[in-house]
Amino acid sequence: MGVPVVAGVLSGRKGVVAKLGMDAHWRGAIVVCNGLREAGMDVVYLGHTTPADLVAAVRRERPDLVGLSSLTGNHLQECRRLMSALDAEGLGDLRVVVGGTIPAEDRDTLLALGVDGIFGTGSRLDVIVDDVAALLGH
Amino acid sequence: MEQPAEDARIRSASGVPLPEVAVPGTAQRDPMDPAGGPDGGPDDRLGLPGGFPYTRGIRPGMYRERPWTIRQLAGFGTAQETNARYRMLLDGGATGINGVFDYPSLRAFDSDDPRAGADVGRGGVAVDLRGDFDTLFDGIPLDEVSVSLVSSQPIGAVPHLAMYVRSAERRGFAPARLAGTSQNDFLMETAITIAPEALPPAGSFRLACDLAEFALRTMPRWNPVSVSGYNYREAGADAVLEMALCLAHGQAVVRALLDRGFAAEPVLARVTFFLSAHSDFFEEVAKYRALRRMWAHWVRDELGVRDPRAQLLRYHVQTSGVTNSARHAHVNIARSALQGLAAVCGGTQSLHVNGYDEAVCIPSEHAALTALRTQYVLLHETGVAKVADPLGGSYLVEYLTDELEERARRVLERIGELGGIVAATERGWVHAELARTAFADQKAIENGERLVVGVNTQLDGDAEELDRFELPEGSLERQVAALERARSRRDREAAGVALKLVARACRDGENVMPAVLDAVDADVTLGELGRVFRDELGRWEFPLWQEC
Repeated sequence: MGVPVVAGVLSGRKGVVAKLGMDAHWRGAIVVCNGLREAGMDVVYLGHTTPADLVAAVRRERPDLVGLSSLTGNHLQECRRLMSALDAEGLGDLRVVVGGTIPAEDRDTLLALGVDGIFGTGSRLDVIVDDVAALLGH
Repeated sequence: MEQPAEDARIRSASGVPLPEVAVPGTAQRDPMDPAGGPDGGPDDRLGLPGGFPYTRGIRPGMYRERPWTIRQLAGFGTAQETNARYRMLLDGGATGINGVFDYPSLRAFDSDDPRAGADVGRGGVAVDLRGDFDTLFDGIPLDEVSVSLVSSQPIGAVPHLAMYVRSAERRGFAPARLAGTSQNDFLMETAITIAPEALPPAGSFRLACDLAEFALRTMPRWNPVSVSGYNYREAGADAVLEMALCLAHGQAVVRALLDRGFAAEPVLARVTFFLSAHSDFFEEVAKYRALRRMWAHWVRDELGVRDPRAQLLRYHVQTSGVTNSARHAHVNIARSALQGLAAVCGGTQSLHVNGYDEAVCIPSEHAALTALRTQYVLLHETGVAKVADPLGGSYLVEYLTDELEERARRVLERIGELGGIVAATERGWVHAELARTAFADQKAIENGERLVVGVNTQLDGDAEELDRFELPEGSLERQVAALERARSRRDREAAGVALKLVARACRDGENVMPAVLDAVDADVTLGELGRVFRDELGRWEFPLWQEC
């Protein structure tokens, strides 16, 4: 079982990945970084990021995708802060996905904030890669 | 707790008399005579429970002598809310406290720090001041109940212990009477739960040793370091890497304290471990047995210590959160029970069983009580507590025990070649190994090599919806308001002077604990202490993760 990740489907694309707030669980974020890299994406892992740091990183790296990770339940408050910081800087069009422990009832709120995709715990790497590729217009 | 009659405890459910420990030939000889292997003497790689090299356990009678400590993890919101949860668990049959702190508190940021934000009171209780510890342990007899402070990172562990000690003293409990544990693990700060502005490995390790030195001198019932293999495992390590990191770290702590002038025996009697119980039942049982044997040999053969009490590897176990699935959450009850069974078959001293909602939120009351009752199913119903090392002598378990020992030894040698655990962390080796094993594990799930119910097999049925535990309303606001009130009321000059003395101790290489104890008396906050530690010992920027 399992469909192998299509090699190179994200070649030429760049992503930045960050942890939200002080959440310590980096395992999923790093595993997803490696999965995206295997599909050809150039991925920069920022670690813990304040809204200001994220805006600076986006200006510096000019990514196609921002990936945010949270497993502590801080996702609504922290996403709100980050998305409004991106909007305020005119970066509201950037594609943003969120991964981690995201309860079903919070999905609509996140989508309304401008998040483009949500990957809960247990998401498969090949599914994440496919969805990101679709999101970026492959 | 009501004890069953002695007779009933030492017979199987259908009445077969059970020896304290079974050995080769038990069936042929008087089953009540524990002595002797097939040739009359115990196998020197196994020994008997309570005998070198302790493969079979640290005490002859194991749980007949003393059941494992039932120590359920708890912490959320404010000190008041968590105090109520501690009492609920103690009333429900918990025999120890396992107190976890929120992320800002673990990393020594105040609850009103801009970085703390939405993480205040999540995943643990928020603490800022000594007064929070007064509330947290209100009404709990600190000389009777052992308290594990899950202060994972030394930068937080040092102020937490100072606040705990000062708070206890005000309630009439002298430091010498306090029984418990500080987690205080520098790998937690620098590789496992990476914080913004973490200390560099050497600085974090130094604070951990300062705490340990203080506790060894003044708190004879306190375990000052709990080497957290559990968390290494959750971050991605396999059983072999968990073992090797534990041994390398435990050995480094012991050696550092010997360098500070301690005799080996009192140090060894107080360094403890915190291990995972993952899903591969037989491998986990073998892991605990192999670790005890490796530690005992290191103590005797490398340090030359003959005192049996100093040769024992003692540990707490938590069932593995990362193995739990959100999709069919109630299946986690079965998973955690089986993992808990592995822990007690392996001879743990203390156990936390996860709540079934672990993959979704911190435990609801119902999940916490179900987990607590699961421990009593293990203790009273399975029979596992009747006979020490019940799986000893199993061909499979002994094979795995030997094999894990050999594999962990090779990784331990590699860490030695890198210059020891602190240097291996500075070089990014620990991070790279964890990332590699975590990625390999995810791949094994995705290609079907490892089947996980509700994740890549048995996916039928809808995902279960749980009543998610929510933080009590207004928790964060109350914490921040109390913090601001305390800051405005304290003697500002005294607080400033106390902080300067902490900075000076950092710079001069003196033990920071005395200055930190004075500082918490002056209502210096956790975040203020954290800032001084960062300013004086440095901030580590983890360039390593770019490559992982």
